Amino acid sequence: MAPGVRGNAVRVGQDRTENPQGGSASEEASLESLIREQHPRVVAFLQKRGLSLADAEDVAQESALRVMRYRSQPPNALKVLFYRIALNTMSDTQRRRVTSQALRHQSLDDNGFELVSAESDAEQWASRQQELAKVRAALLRLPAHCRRLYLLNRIEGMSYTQIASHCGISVKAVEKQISKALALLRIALADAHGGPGA
Amino acid sequence: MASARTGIDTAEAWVARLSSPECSAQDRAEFERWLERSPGNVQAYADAERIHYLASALAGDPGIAALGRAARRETDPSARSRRRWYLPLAFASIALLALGLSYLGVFRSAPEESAQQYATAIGERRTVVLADGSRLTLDADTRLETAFAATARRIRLAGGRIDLDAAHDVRRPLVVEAGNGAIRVTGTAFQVERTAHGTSVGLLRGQVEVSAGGVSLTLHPGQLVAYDEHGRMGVPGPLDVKASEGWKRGLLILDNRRLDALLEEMNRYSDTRLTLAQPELGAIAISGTFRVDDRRALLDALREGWGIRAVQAEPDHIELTRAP
Repeated sequence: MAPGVRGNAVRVGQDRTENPQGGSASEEASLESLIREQHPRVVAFLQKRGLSLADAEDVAQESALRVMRYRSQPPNALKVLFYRIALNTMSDTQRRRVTSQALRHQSLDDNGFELVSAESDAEQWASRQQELAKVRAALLRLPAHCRRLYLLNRIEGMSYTQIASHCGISVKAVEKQISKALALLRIALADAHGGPGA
Repeated sequence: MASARTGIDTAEAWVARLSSPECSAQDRAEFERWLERSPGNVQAYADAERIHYLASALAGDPGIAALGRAARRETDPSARSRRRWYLPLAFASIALLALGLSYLGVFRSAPEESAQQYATAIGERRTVVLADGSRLTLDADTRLETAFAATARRIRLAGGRIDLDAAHDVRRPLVVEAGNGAIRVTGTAFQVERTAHGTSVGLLRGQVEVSAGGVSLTLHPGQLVAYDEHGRMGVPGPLDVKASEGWKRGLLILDNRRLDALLEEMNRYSDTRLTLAQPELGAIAISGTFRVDDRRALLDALREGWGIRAVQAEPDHIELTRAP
């Protein structure tokens, strides 16, 4: 991990002339505050996955730098990306260092990667409930086989490996159905207008 | 643009790949190259992760949770041939004496003093007082026959649902036959429902003995037990007392009722049949209180809450579908 990373990240926000990638000052400021706010949570997220505090700090630091590359993107998207990149970085580091032992936790699930953190007021809560209702309706419209595998993963909490052995299919086939389910959900939610990101 | 190596070019495919135990370090590196390739990719990725997360947040939804459990069963190759019964019953492994069936034998040979048939039309509910003083309430679309002899009282439920407040008479036990089983009563209040799937018995007061398929068990107040058309007995569970009192007042009080069982019940109250276009919708669990004669409210709730649409298939047939 490069030394002085934290100082770097802070300085980018303070000095607009040192921004070669062309984001506006307000973009920089919001990205910086996002990273500052999420940093300790990402560290905790990684510790929950078995990293020591020091390793988690390192991984979070490197991930923050990588997230900076997408600074023109909306903050909510970057927040999700921060966790994903942290998880990926952790997996890469672990694979380099030891075995692939802890790699079964590849998904962002268990803290909802802060998706709920902003839903403190009643209006946001209500809009999330509406969104959930749309996702529910869209789930019911999935083709039966696809829906079953997707629910085994999402609702029953089974890993790809568990699903594969339960259903007698390959891990690759599980991945395909998960991907298909998500693509169909996106289409259904777009039709219902006002779905996530619409 | 798809990567030549991974072939992945959608956000959804990336979410699916990144959660796979087969995801490699090369895949992860390729993922970041994909993000940089187009400005929309980061947002698309975040949206897909959010949908993925919201789907898991539905685990607390009773209907989706039921579908999840159903998915586990339906994808288990070793269980696929097993028949499913409409209540989540674990079948009792107790082998008891076949008392119930021997009762039936006795009654069939006994001379019958008075035989009487009762039936209610669709939408009709009726309470009658039987010759022995027992109070019998028939729900809509119910058919039964009573036969009272010197040594026994017998009610044969052909279909529908009854509530019986039985007069006490130790010398003349009362037996309700329904489907492939029987319920033996002394003095007691209970309900029997017979549907296409099987028979369920709920006890409000007193004690009854339920026999089916060579198994008999004693039901205690507040309990419900079901047996299927093959006489296979389930394990007694709690009776929903509110719901079992509700139908007598024209209310359907639902607490996680399966949709297929609910429709069967609704169909007792109208000549227009409600059916499911996709049988798997039957597993959805519904909660709430509806008037039996207010289908509109139910259909609206199904549409709002579940995205299930009602389609008028024929003048007297409404089909429920979740097709887009």
